[in-house]
Amino acid sequence: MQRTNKVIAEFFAQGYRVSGTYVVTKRPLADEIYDPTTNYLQLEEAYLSPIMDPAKISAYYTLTLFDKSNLDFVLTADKKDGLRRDQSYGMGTYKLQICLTVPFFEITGHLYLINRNFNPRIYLSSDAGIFITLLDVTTRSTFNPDVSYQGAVALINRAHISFFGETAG
Amino acid sequence: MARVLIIDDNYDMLSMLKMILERQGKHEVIACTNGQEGLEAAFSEPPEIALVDVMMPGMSGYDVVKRLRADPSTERIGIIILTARGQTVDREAALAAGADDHMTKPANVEELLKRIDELLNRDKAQAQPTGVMTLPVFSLKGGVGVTTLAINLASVLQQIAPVALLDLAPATGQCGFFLGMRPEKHWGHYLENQTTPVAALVQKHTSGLPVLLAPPLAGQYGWPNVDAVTAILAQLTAMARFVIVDMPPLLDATAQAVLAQSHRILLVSGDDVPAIQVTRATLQALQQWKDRLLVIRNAAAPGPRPPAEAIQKALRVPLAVDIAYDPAQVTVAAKGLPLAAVQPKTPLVLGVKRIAQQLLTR
Repeated sequence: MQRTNKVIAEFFAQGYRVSGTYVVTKRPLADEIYDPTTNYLQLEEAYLSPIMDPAKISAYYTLTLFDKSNLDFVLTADKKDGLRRDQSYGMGTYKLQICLTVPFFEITGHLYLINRNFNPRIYLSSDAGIFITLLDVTTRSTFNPDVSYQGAVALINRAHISFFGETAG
Repeated sequence: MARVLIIDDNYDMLSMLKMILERQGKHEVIACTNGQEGLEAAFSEPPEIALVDVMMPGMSGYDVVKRLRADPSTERIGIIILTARGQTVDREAALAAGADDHMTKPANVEELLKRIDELLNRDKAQAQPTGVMTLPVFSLKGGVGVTTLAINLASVLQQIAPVALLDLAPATGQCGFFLGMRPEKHWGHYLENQTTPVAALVQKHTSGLPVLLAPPLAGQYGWPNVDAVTAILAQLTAMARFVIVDMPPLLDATAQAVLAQSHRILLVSGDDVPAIQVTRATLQALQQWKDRLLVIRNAAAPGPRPPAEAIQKALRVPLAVDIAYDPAQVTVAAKGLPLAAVQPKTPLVLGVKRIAQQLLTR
């Protein structure tokens, strides 16, 4: 089916799951999220669910603003929607399996690097941007571990990460 | 080709799906932009398939599915949830709400058409194995539209498979009168000579409907006993897939023999208090066949009607189909035609189609 200029993604923040529509006008969703010069992300048609009952739609808003610094992570089903324009040309050849936690969730996925020598401390503290990008992601709700979410890409708020681990393979 | 209802608040998605299903799937599509509108469309003329979005303002797709499943006229629709929420938890929620399938947007066109076909084939497979169905239309209260429903049900089912209509009126023929047919041949002749093949006594109405009429003066021929009515039914079921019986307002041994051999019993109730009381009593009398009963409310006369909920509360059973008064019936009956054969979109015919759909999908 034909793609439109609307991207529906899952936004997780402070115990809520929000399925919202981002209208791609000038730049892709990931560029908008990564942009350090803007604080807010505007969505249309946002459907809110509490993460303890994530399929239940508890509220609907025609227009929503997200404070990007309060987002825990964003999940997209399509890889194209979750990558910055520069990342879409290539993300590095070294793939690491990463497990990390943000409030209410543990997230596993692949981190792609250009450099073979990876130092998590340096990566988390000095790399540019408030978000990091993981691919082929599975997230699990901390208080409801039977509930998991899959996505092609997760954009994770670096400041909300409390545990960051590299796993074998 | 099937009738497909699409409910999606996204106009672009709606237009795209409509175009794909009409052009590639060759389906008849009804497009609605919100849950309420979609429910109204589904209840007025139930589709075979519904594609329902989840994230819609007002009523969510899950609520729409629950409402469709709760109503007897739409409970058997094949429902596919089509949503951007594609997580396992969303699939589970869709199935828990009553959907048959869950697909994530943007859906693959071939996959969507394939799943629609699978649901349609499933419904056909469920409808087929029962083979022949004997379907008495029955009420112990006269004047509630039993003959009208029997004739129109036969006319609707005739479009699906061979049908025979049996007029079992004890006094004088009802179906013959409604269809403008002269009872030159009738089951009275069979009672006179039980070696006569029943098929030779069946007359064809101008609409093509085969009818075994009642004799004009029943007293002259007597009333069929259990053996005779069983033999008549056996011969009719050999020549038709659906045998519709316009039942007398009786519960004698003959009527009970027909009910016992039936696959579904269409119990017709009117709106007035006596009709409801009679229906309640009939429900008690037919307890042994309660699993076969389809209770239908039919407004045979114009005027105010109590709400369906009140009727259901009084009867303590759900109404399978609720049919509004249809003034077109009067004018068409005077011409000796089944309304279903000439005006397929009137309230009565739409109600009869809902009955047929339930018969085929259960």
